[in-house]
Amino acid sequence: IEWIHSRSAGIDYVTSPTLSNSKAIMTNAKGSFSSTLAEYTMMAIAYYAKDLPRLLQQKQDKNWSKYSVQEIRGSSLGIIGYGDIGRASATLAKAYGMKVVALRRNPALSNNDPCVDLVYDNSKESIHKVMNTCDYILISAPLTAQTKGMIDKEAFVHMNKNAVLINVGRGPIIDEDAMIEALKKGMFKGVALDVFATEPLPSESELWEMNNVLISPHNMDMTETFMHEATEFFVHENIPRFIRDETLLNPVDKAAGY
Amino acid sequence: MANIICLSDPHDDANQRLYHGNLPKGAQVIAVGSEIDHFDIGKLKEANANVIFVSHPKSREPLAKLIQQVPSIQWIHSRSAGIDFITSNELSNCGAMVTNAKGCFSSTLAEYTMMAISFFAKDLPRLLKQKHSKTWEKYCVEEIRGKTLGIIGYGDIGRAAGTLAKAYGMKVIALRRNPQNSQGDPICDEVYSNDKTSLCRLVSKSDYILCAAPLTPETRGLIDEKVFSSAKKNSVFINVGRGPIVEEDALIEALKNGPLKGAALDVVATEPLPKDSELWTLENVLLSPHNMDMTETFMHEATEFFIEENLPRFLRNDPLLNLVDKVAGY
Repeated sequence: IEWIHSRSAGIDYVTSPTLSNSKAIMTNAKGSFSSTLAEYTMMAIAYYAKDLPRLLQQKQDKNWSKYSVQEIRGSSLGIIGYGDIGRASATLAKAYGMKVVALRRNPALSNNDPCVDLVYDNSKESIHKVMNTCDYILISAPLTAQTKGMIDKEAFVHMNKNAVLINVGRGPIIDEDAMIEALKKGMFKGVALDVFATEPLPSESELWEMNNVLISPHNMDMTETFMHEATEFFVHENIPRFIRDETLLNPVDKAAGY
Repeated sequence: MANIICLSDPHDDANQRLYHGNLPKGAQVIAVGSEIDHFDIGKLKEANANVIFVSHPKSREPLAKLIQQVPSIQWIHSRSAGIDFITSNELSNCGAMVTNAKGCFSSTLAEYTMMAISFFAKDLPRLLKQKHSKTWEKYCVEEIRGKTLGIIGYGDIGRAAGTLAKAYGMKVIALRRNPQNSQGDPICDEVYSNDKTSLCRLVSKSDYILCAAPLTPETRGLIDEKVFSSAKKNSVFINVGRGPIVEEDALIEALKNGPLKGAALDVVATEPLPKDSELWTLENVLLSPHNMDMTETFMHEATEFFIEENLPRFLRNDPLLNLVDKVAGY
């Protein structure tokens, strides 16, 4: 075996010591899902900025009651894990006139990025700073040994009261119990989660019944053709390159896990 | 000199800077009231009132009377973008310039437009239902990228929405009175003029239809049964213009029996929406109480625009910003 290709972007479902130690090249579907997840991110932001829950409740009650909405323009988006999905979200956020702060392993790589106003490394201090200063925080990191449980109880202590947390990365990056506790205590405004520690989300999870929680069944990247397109990418892009002995697209670092 | 009559609510918080704050040198507020009886016409004429700042929703009649009785009025400024609430024969025929708050509300309404599009594209209603029943059921979402947004009324608000739509990778078709004004506009892929045939063609090609037009005699009832029946199957209609532009019965019909998948309405024919309207109970309708441009500071900012931008220009005899065509109504 010389080459292993994952049809999805995340490779956390196939990592193993055997994989890390093998000499085979590994590639993934980086980039195939980014645009749709960026659209979801902006929807999650608008859901809270315009108080969509209130609109829907008022409709149910036949209640015509004006209230002030928040502008997305001028607010800040902190992106934890500034890969392809993070960058697609940053691009849209910039179009809205948001301020964008990015966290990544290699901040230098984003030095001249027009979509980012500030870049930080992925240290605890940086995470705390982002949780504290940003109106919206997007987790678009891969699940790796380093990112697992990265958003922990301590991180939630730093979260500002009006912030909204959005997760399109992987559930286990967040300590789910700590998140639920912090939400219940009103330590921050709300969450929008497309991924969870356990999927399907067990019916006993408190998240189902909490008010300031938007739940989607890990489908916000699932367009009708996305899997077809991901397979096409393999067939039309990387297979020809492999056969011609050219450099493959989307190589992953098996040891790093993304 | 600017001797200003405020046709507004004296307790309107957003206007306090106008009533009590520092105004440019040469400007002063000489009266504040919301009805004609609140004003002493003799005193207004003595004081050479030449500017009227209008923010009260019930200003149509008092404004018409003030125009008739105080001939020294040179300039009327509306704090809102829409001027349909103050149009009259007296206004059309008088010599005064009229300006409005064009541009102050556009960005926020563009944000609402994309939210409305997302609401249907990602089937937010389904997400919320599934949460309520604790159902974990994957389903396909639609991409906004690649879809077509048709904009009826391509003014400041339409253009702001078009700009965001383009950022998403949508195709944008615009419909306006003067299509030539959009030649070379990088935001529009196509521009149509505002005849019925073009309007029907626009809705037949659009996945999302945005009405961002002003209410004028020309646009009243413009979007009727014929237009809705020409709409693309499963398209979504969004209205941030004015309710009466739409034949509401025809809209309800199209929502119940197709071709519309749904509608997002920030404006309706009668506001507040009467409790017996079917729009409250139709599942495929996203309703908001004409507040999607209402940020905490928007009215303050609109008053600031008058104070900081147009009042100095008036005092210096420079051209004013946001001149409206009183006869056309926008």
